[in-house]
Amino acid sequence: MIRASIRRYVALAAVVGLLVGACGGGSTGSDKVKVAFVAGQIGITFYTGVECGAKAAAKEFNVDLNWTGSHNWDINETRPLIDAAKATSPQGWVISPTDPDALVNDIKAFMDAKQWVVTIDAPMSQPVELQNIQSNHYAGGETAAKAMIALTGGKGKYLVLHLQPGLPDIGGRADGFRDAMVAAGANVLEYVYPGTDQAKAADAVSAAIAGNPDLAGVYATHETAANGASSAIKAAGKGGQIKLVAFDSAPNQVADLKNGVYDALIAQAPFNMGYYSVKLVADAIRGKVDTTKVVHDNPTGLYAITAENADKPETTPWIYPADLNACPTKPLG
Amino acid sequence: MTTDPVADDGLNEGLVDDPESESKPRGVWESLKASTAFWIGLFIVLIAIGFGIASAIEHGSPVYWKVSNLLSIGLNASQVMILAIGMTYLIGAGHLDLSVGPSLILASVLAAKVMVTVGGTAEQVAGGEYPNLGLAIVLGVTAALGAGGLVGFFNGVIVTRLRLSSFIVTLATSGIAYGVALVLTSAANIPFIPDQIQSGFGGLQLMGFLPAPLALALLIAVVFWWVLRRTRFGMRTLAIGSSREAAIRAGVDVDVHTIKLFVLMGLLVGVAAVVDIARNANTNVVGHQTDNLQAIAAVVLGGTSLFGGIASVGGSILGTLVPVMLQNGLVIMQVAPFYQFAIVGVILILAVYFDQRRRDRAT
Repeated sequence: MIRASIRRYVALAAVVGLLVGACGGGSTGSDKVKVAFVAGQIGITFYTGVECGAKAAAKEFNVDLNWTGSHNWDINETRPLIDAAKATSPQGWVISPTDPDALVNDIKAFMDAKQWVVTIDAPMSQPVELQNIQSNHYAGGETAAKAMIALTGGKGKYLVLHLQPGLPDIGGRADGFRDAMVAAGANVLEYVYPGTDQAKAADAVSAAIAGNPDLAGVYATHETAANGASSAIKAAGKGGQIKLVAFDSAPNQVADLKNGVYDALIAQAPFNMGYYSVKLVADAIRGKVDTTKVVHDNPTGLYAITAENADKPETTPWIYPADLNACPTKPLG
Repeated sequence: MTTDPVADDGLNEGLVDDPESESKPRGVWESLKASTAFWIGLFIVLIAIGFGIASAIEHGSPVYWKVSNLLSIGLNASQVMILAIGMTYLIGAGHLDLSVGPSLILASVLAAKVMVTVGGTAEQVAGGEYPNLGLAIVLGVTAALGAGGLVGFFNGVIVTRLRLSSFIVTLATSGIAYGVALVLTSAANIPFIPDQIQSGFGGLQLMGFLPAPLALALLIAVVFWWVLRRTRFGMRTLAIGSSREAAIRAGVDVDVHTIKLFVLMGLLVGVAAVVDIARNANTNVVGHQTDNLQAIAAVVLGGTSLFGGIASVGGSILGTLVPVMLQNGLVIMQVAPFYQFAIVGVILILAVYFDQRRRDRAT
């Protein structure tokens, strides 16, 4: 009886070992540099775009890239991934800081050990990394407000779908929108925090529609909130009546834009974030760039997609890839 | 009364002393065989060996076995360990506490507010100076324990007085706790928490290598293991889980004891909240969404029965390590993240299945 159980456990461990051995990444070549990429939230097309860019840069610049990321934008999920990647002794890192303060000491330690770190998509509270590549979130919010005012004239009430309290990047998108709307005389409701839960976002929008008959527009600050908002507006039969402006341009969002559910989408440049971050880290490791002269803030561009320009060729590269088979081939701009 | 070892039919699972077996001391091997904690421990060793070999193939040396890596696994599991210890007692008594995540957020937010308010004037604190640092930290920790304990007390009273299922009650209190936390903070993380708690505890390595939060979790585990196995308090906890009526007839004040268990869970939530602030030098209002399920999964994996009456603190500690070890290994092996989620789930099912088969054969 004991032997059978032990045999089973040994078999189990062997299976695990073989499985992971088979799934492992490529072996290191001669001039290959090792970079660990810890993404903030796997499973949204924005980060598929980042992955496309990162892997394109890895191929072009001969990088052994360890791509990993957490299910939720949560520092307690990010930390174990960073700790695990530490064991592989990478020469450089690209990290999405899921908390602006918590990783300051870790990243400082990496930089002191000459493991170059570039952060993407969100800011750190202290500029300890080599470079930070993210959208100018506040300006993106202002762009969204401009688009909303063009659609509604600034009348009625507006709902902002945030993510969770305490996030400076999403907060920038929300505040940029709210400040510009209030300056134009519009009435912005209290922020709602559905997290990365599409269903919660839908519930919040349905409630706002029911409670505010003069609701003129909804602004979703990220992809999952946008999906929830669009389904709630469709369900209430108010597609086109309630203007929906959202951050991010997943393919299904663009399709909904063409169908009249969305009125404007603020597209970010995730491919550029993934591509340029890996390129910079690789160059820094190889000594190809003077790290003392690297500019810390490197904001990537934003692009407003509307019904008018959705089908134009210059808009196509701004639409996020649905999966890794639909990757763009080169960065924008 | 037989002294035949074969008749020791495994009902006791090696955890509650059976009067019958006192006449013949149970062999060490017999005790180990019957203990789920032992098998989970063996499983962990096998995972470590498997990943060690696999990582050696992948990276040229068995990086999985690096002491810093193994200790970081323990450190990342330490908060769930602390929660799992309290959950072991509750599940052993036949209850659940689903409110641990939001309760932790509430406790950490209150602790942070106290630390920042007591630490100095608003200008000093914003500038990074804390003239009353010692007092601030003591009062902050007290606030965390108090908040956690209060939520636990509230849980316990509602469950016992209103005779409602702990599942439903704690599900409700989790919403209440979260709402209160958001109101108190106006929905933002608390700024200006002193960095010293990170350098002085959260990131501290005792004797140069042992992470302080892990040491704390293990110390608490030892104490609570001893209480469960060797004191009347522990015995009563399992008695209540095993049969509430029998416990009442045996003279145990089940309601009071149950409230104590929920308060205990709440105090441990407070401790975990302090560890959370200390590790991040920030509150984490964003997270802790699955803390309750992680703690319960660890407890069940470790051999504690969801039906009550059988519990193992050692097993729960080992249970917290399994998912962290798996994820750590898969990242080192550069397995794509989507596969990671699936693989961890599959392995957990297999682990619980094998354990259940073993238990069925033993009874």
